[in-house]
Amino acid sequence: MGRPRRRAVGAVAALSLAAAVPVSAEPPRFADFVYVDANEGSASGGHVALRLGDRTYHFGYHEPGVLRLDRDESDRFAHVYSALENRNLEMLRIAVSAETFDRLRSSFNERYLTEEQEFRVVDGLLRDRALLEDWRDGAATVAVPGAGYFEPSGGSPGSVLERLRARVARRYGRDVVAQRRAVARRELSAARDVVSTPVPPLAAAGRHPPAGYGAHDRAVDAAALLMALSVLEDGASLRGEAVVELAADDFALDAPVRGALARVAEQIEDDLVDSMASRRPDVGIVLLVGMARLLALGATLEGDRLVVLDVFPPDAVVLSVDEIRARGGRLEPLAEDLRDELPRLREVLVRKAVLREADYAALEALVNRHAEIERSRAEGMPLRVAPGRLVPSRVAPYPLNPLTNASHEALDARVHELESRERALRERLDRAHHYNLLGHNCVSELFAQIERAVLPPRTVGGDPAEVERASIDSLGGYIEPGRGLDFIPFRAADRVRVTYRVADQVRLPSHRRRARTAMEDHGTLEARLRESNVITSTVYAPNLEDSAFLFFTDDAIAARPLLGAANLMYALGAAVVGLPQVPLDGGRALASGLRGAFWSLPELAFWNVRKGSYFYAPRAASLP
Amino acid sequence: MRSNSTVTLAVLLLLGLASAGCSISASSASISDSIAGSSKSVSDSISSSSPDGSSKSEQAYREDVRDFTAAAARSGRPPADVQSGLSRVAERHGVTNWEADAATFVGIGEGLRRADQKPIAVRRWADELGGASGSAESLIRQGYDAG
Repeated sequence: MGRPRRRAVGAVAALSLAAAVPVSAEPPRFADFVYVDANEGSASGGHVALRLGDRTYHFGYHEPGVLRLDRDESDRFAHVYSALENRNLEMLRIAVSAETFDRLRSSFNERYLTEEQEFRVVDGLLRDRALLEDWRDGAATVAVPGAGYFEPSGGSPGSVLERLRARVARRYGRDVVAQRRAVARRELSAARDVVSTPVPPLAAAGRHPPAGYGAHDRAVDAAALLMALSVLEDGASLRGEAVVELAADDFALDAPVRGALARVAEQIEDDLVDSMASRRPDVGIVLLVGMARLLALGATLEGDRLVVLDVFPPDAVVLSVDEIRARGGRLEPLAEDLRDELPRLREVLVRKAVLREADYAALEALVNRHAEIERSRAEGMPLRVAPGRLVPSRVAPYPLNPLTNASHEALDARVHELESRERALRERLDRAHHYNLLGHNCVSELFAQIERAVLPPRTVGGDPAEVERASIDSLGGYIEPGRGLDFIPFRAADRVRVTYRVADQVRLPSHRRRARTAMEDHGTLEARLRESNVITSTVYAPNLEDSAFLFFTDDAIAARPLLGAANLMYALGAAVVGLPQVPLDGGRALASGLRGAFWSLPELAFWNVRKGSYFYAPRAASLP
Repeated sequence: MRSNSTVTLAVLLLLGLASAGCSISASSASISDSIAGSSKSVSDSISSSSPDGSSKSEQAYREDVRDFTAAAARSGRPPADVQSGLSRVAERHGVTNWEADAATFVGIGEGLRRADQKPIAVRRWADELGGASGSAESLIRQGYDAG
């Protein structure tokens, strides 16, 4: 198959697509093979991914040396790699049927979720072992998510929880709290008796593993239920530092908003009453979070400002303002993005007929991020950072009584048993996911997963001819995983271009290139000279994460060796200057200089890797 | 730039060997992205966007529940063994009380269908995971029939 033309000839590409895939009323579907250009840092040899609509899948290197499937929202993937990491992205749009698209997406998603479960089992064994070691050594404490929102000394019963308690009593009878408490105490004893419970067997490789509901998680769940029942029965106040407040100027509490929030509160209360009958082992956490939210909503509806729970996780990364500046970042544009989003989200909440918990959680998260940035800007406070969705998880400790029904020796034996199980599981996961640059990397595994996905059900492990036929039918061609030099990202992209049914190609230039093109004086000699280096550039601010360099060489092909030589000299000079600073900066400047020298070497041979990166960049328009 | 010359390949291989050839998860460049979350898309993702009135975020959640259930059921995992994993899946979508979200049970039904489970499985999964609202079975069946 010849090279399809680029984006500029999209109309022609669309015609060829119509001939290539079965005619149907459905809009054309694309599986997009994404080639990510090289840059220093991670993926210095480039990277590849498969974009399937609003989700993008790619294999990433995880410590300690395993290759795992990662998943990102497609717009976020493009933002991170093209804007923040300043790389060029090239999307090869493979025309597929709706059935193939669905099969690819399900297969990648199932693998992603199964891998998460596999590694969670290892984490569970680690938590169990730590808890048993604590028990063996005397006493143990568990951290209970959701319990950290309440004052430990209780507090006034308050009308919100009183009403909930009355509804629960009406539905289930006055003894329900005592009954559930007895169940929770039995569960806690069961967790302590885990020393006599067999460790669950390992799942067969590639199969969905058992949940591994061990001593730690049982203890947390039981403790959470006991704490939740105490809050319900005795009443409690929210801790002052566990909530975030937003002034009316930032989020007006007018009648429509109050109406929407009142509906959310009613829904939460109804759900909490239902939850008292739930058999979920972790229902205690649900009750704690729900009651804390009810109290926050109550404070909002009674007052004149929005009050939500603090939803940053306990392990959030903390960055100082100085650190952000050193990375070339500024808080103002980030704050502006969040400030602009608040009224949009407000409108959606008011308009929506049925609000889900996730909708309210989105508001909580946005308010938290906004308030965190504003506080940091105003007071110079360190900034908490956490990726992904934020859900209420503030913890409080729950001390567990010393174990009385197991000897020190029995606990010790159990700890060793868990250690060996953990080791066996890790070894198996390492074998299955072991990273190998030449034989098992992000490229080879992507093709292997594509191969698995397009095989019809129950033909996994079929003969090679069948595999090839299935791939040709679904994608227009077959690429054998790990063959030849196809493990190199750009070679893989070339292979895809000539093998699969590529109907279109879309190039998303790096952020710096886009910013330069958008300049009014773009193309003038003055602009070219000004933007050619890190000192006078107006679209790049030196980033602590980047190595020492002077000239950008990604868009200067002819002059690349010359500029590379200048970069080499500059970086070596930076290393020399950094040498005496080692006691002061821990070798940061020296390492930056040496890395700068290393990444200048390919430039001498007309090869560019380093492009600089950004701490902040505005989001680009959505991908097609 | 994309010359196939031996020298270029050798340089590339050296560079690749000198560093991780694949993207390292949680790279530092994405920290500023974490500060803002996916702020620009928050309101879009929770707006109703499909004919059935569901939002993108609800569809994404249902899809994850579907695929998680399908993988678990295909591997012979009983419903009770799936609960904690389901809690983690839900949490990643901003849901702690998954029993109160209809999308959970519709997703379970779709997953059972994908895993070629017999119709009797609908009753079994509803009994084990159904919660207190009593509507779980009809929602799982709705997902199963549509899946």
